[in-house]
Amino acid sequence: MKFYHSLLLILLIATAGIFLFNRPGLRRVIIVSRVDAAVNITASIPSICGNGVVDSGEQCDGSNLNGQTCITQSFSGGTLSCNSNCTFNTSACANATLPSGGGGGGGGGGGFIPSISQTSVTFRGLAYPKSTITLLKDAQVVAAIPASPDASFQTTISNIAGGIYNFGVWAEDSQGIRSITQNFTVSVASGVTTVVSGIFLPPTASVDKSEVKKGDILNIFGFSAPKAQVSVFVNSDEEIIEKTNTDNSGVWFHKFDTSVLDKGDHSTRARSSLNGDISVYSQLAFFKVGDKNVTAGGQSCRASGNLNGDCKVNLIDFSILAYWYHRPLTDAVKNKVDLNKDGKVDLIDFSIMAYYWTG
Amino acid sequence: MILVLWRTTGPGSEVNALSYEFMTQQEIKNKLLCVSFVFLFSVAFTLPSGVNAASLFLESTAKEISVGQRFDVVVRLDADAGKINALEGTVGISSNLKILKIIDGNSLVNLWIKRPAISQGGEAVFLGIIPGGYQGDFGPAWTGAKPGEVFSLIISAESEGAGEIYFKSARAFLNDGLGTEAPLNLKKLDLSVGNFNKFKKDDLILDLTPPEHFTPEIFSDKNVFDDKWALVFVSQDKGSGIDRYEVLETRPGSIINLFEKPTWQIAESPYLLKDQFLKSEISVKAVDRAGNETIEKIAPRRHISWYETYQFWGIIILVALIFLFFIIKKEAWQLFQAK
Repeated sequence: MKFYHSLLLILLIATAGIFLFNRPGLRRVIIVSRVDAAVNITASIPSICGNGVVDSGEQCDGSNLNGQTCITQSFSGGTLSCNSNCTFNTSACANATLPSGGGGGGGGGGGFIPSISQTSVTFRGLAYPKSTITLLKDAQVVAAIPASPDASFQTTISNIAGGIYNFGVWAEDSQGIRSITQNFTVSVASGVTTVVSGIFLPPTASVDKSEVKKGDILNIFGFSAPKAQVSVFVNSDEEIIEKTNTDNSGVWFHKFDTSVLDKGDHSTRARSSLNGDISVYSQLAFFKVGDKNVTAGGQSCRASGNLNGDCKVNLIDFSILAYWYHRPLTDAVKNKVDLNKDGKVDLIDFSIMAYYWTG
Repeated sequence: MILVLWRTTGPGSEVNALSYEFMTQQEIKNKLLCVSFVFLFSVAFTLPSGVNAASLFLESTAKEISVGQRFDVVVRLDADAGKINALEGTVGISSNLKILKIIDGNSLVNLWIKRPAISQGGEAVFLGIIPGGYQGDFGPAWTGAKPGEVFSLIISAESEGAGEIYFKSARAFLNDGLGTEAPLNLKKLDLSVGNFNKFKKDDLILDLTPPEHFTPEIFSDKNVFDDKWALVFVSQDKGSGIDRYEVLETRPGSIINLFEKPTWQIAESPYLLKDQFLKSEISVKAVDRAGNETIEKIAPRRHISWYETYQFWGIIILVALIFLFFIIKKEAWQLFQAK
């Protein structure tokens, strides 16, 4: 009897274990949490001259001389004091090479007016070498900066009020291909510098053919950080995953044999990993497996939601879509504003536009 | 399932009662363990659809409300590891409650298609998007993501009884570029309205900060307003939220201002410009729910015509007056000579 119950227990534990840890949904949660773990959010109060504390960037603060004296400042003696800008005042220090002038009094301490700290947010991360990083605040562009040759970037926005902000970061590689926008909703406290670090932007991904003859090679390529491993996902009945690496300039290139794919429409996307950090997926690149090869056109302006053709998806496109929200569509605009081709403009079309948002 | 299994082993006969007694003494621990694991197993079966679903829920610090009391309820979104980029819904309330005000200043939604508003039926209706998607609020003071605020409601308790605030309808969409509807759990809020003598003074929202600076843009597109010039604008207000926008079109130095005095017009983006010649200076005013204002201006793209200027008409009037003066003078002289 005991044996029977022990066996039942083992079976139940094993079954529960399989269901608990092998559900696709839960697996997704684990992956996402790993991706999230890559982004660190920290806060620090910037140096405040006049608060009596020697902060970073200050030599002293008020009567707090940080343990320094005239002697430690290479003088023979005298009285060290602190300037109102939190630098040392050595005017009352005696120089060893000169006869002592007898001091003269420090001039009193107090009277510091604490400077008002700025509220700022700093962003640090990795994109692609020589790419342009665009930073969005609440869906509007607030900065565009170049990435360094090693793909790292850093930018700070300041003079903002405390509150919840939706920040977005996207990059455009040297070929003009854009990454998807990576968003962070961050609680920003007043008077504090909040640092969002560890941002790892997803790779860009493109294909060289919009239609490829079955059995021919499809070139899939893009940009990521140098020396990153890129996993290339090709959607078929079963997802095909192949791996490649970026070179020193951040370029990745993969030759994909289409003989394993059925004829019809397919898509591919990629994600990068570097030093244990895993990016989110790139945008989808679409192609068709058929009977002929057709070279793909440029991709940057084809984003769904670019309604006015300016290669951006921003407030103007949003306003155009909002204008047609729940209005009967004319034939002239149907192909443009009805993004999911269901004959109307509703929240689904806005959702598609929000995915391709560039600001 | 479990109960049926137990019943088959123990209907209420004397023999079976004894056997039940025997089982309780010898194997109850094992049975309990089994039940626990079967329960766990059942939970594992029933949860998959719910575990990864986003949730819209309502939060209030007050559970027992006095009649006449005003309290706030926050509508929150728990994205639950997914990314949500579009959201719509209607919040309903029981008849003994009344929505007085909506505050969306600290909302996770960046662009409203329908800014949260009180409908004629007294419900709160909202529709908006989060470009790039929303995963949760991140901050240095906590680890991971926590549910964020969609907007908050100021509600008054009108009469005694059970109070209920609930989602009449709601939909959310994943940030996947395909417009996939996200599984969404909707959680209501139950309250008790009575005479609890815990009347709390209204928590007034002190908002002295005007809406953020913004950049209005002029555009024309053949898909909107027949390719006429239009204006787009959006601002954010982290305090009480944006109440409305107003637009003013003026032609500085133009004589037209004397005949048609420019006035502020309540506007929504996109706004069809009255001055299709783009000779006007355009001012856009964002007003928050506390009455604070931020005004942004766009300079005229074209200069006004010379014949519209005050200077031109000033000279014309001056010349006319001089001409008139000489005519009158001449007439008067002739009249004087005739006499």
